[in-house]
Amino acid sequence: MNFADAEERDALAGEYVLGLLTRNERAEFERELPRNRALAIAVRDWEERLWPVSTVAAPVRVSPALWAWIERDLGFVRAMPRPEVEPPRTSWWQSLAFWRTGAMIATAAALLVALVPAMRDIVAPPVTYIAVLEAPDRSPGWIVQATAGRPVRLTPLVSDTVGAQQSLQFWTLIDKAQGPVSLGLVEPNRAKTVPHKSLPGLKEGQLFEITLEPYGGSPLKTRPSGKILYKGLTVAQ
Amino acid sequence: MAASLSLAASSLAGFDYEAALVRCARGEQRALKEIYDQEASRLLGVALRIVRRREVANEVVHDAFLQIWQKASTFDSARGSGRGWIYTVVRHRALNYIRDDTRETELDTEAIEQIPDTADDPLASLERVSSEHAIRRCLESLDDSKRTSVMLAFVDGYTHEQVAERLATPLGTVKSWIRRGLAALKACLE
Repeated sequence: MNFADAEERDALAGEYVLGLLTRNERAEFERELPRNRALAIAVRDWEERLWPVSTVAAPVRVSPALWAWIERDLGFVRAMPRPEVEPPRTSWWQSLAFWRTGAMIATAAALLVALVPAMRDIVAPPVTYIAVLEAPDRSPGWIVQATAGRPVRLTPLVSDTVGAQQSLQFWTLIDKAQGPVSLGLVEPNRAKTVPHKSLPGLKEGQLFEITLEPYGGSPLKTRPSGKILYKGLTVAQ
Repeated sequence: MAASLSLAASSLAGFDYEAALVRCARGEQRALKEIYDQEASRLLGVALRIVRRREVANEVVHDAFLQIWQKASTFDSARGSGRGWIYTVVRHRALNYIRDDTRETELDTEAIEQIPDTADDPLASLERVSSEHAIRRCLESLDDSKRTSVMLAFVDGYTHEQVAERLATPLGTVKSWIRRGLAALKACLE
């Protein structure tokens, strides 16, 4: 790349700001940037000239979960204490009726109330579902984002500590008759992506949860053996 | 809905982005929330046009706000506008996402069809840019091929190859349209 010629330097800076340099060109450009003041000024000038063009993008409705996620990662909100350990009672899906009522409905309803009047008709991307997985004390722990045909993303909001002989396992339940489906083990404090083909389906009100299991996952294979740490139902975004 | 959007637009004039960034640099958490309330839906729109997946766009805006908070002290109002700096952070993160080959990449043709790009009607979409920005008038004065190529790259995050394919035009021609388009924009703005 020719950084010496002023005209070429300016054109490269413009292409860089447009995002048009190839991977190798970009790497070379970014190596040069910190040591070439004229180049840095050219980049800044292009950014300042072009940024208003971004505003042609139509605004998109923002989920209330997004600010909660930002705030937590910046430490604006004090980390919630880890849930107290309770011995598992009956099988988890038998107690689902309990979870579905009361607290969880309130959460889903609150999200829906916030979302319904929003800008649904501006852009119509495929429906994304969000489930905020909460600890028994209702504090948010993880966020599930799922869109039909796309990988499911699981993002931590809190830092979990897990013993050496324990694993966290991610589950979903779409249909009681079919029973729970394992979506694999989860590393504490690390986002996870699950291929959409692993899901039994995707719909509003679908349960996702994380259980504490012996190292390697539930020995029962087809259902959790340990206690539920976090759970939540999907809400259409 | 139209009412709520025009309300948002009219409140823009009163928002002091530079002051909000200075307050972020001082550690005032409320200032970041004010920027978020002011811009999040538009910034999510900017990110979505580039990454084309809602969950990734959320992640881009999340990461951008972390960066805005952490880097607010490096913002220098003598060098540019606060609002421009914020948009640049979001675009940069979105571009990094789609250009990073190490990420899992899905075939996204399906999504590309679902979100119209600027090639469909670049002049109409420019109407959303406030006329206070001279760049709007300058883009309107470009010929269609240059304007569309520049906007497909900037707004939709297309590579040279993708612009060439979208416009069914040889790669070399597209590269030259964009270079000449940039030069004309610079001249128009000076």
